[in-house]
Amino acid sequence: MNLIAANWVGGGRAFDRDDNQLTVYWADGELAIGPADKTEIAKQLAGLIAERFAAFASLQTAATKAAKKSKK
Amino acid sequence: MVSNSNAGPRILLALSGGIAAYKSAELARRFVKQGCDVQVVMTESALRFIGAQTFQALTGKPVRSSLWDEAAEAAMGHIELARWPDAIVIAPATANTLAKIAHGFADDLLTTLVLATDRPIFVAPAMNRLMWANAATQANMATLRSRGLRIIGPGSGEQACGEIGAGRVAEPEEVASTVLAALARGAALQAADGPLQGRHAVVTAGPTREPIDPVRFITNRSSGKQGYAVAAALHALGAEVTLVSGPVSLPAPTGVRMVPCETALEMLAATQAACATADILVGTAAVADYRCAAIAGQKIKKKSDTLGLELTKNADILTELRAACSSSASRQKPRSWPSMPRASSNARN
Repeated sequence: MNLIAANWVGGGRAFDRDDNQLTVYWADGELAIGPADKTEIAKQLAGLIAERFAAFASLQTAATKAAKKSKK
Repeated sequence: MVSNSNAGPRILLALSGGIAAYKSAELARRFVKQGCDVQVVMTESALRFIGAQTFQALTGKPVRSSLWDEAAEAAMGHIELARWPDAIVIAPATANTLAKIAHGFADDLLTTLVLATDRPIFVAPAMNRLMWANAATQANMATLRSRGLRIIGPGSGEQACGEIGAGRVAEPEEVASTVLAALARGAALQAADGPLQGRHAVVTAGPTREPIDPVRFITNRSSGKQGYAVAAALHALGAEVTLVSGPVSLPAPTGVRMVPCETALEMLAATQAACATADILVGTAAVADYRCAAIAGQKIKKKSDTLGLELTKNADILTELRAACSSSASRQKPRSWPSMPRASSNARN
């Protein structure tokens, strides 16, 4: 798992309403998103996913290259 | 498709000869006010109804009206002009011009541009009600529609000729908003050429329903709003999106593949199947933590004063999928990394 988003629920928060608030955590960072409309939360979250995915993919590529080198 | 970098969309506004041509002055003005770069083209007949000078003043560009204007052709040839706009808007579009376009004529600048372009074309027909109702015109309209031209209007009402019926040109406000909305959608689709282009994302959303008997179930207050918004946002970044959704009352986001499901077990199976080809998983659903240990075959009768329900813990979808991912971690290309927007026990919705 690369990202985990936490949000408070209960007390009228998050469920069955239009706004939300998250804190997203990953291995070496975190990002607070909102409170904002769920569509805005989604845009920021999707942007973060794209950014972290790119970072992850480049790490993988580097790891694969390193593995190939060590085999030689 | 907005090709100029600092200005708004490029609109080629083409007028054919009808009394409704006067309304196109306001249309030109509306496009300009919305930040569009507007080039007006007029047929010889249109010039008999309204002066080119009007449009030159409104758009800041000389009007083009002839294929044989050497100076204008030298500045921008008609083929180049046909490729310049983000959209061609023909308003008013007369019965004659529509007939020529339907049959591929290119005997003036307007029809030549239409024939030589691959840009979206919008037409706002304007003519007498009998000309509009004529089988020839209607056949031409069917042809144009089938070729992807977008027809705006015509409206119905009192006509300049004194008759009452269909054929009145659509109001400038309607034409402008239709064209600009379509261009905005096009731009949004282009944005789909984004950072997640070529990636497959699976999103789970909504609640699950855990049946008690044939007519009752346990569920939660999840609306699905957050998950549907995430699916739409990932699609906007270029991802191919599969949305595994519990029962909600939301419309499916455009361009997203829907997989409906009801129980946690069904959602797990559907998510596993969808994830076989996925790069990204976002678990937004509020999956029931427990299900009934036994589902009554018939509606439970109101007999005893208290009723106990034995519940069994549901498998955690993300835990299951993470296990599946790590067991296939030896795959070659950078693979799935499930991300999990959720609280300790519940996703948000």
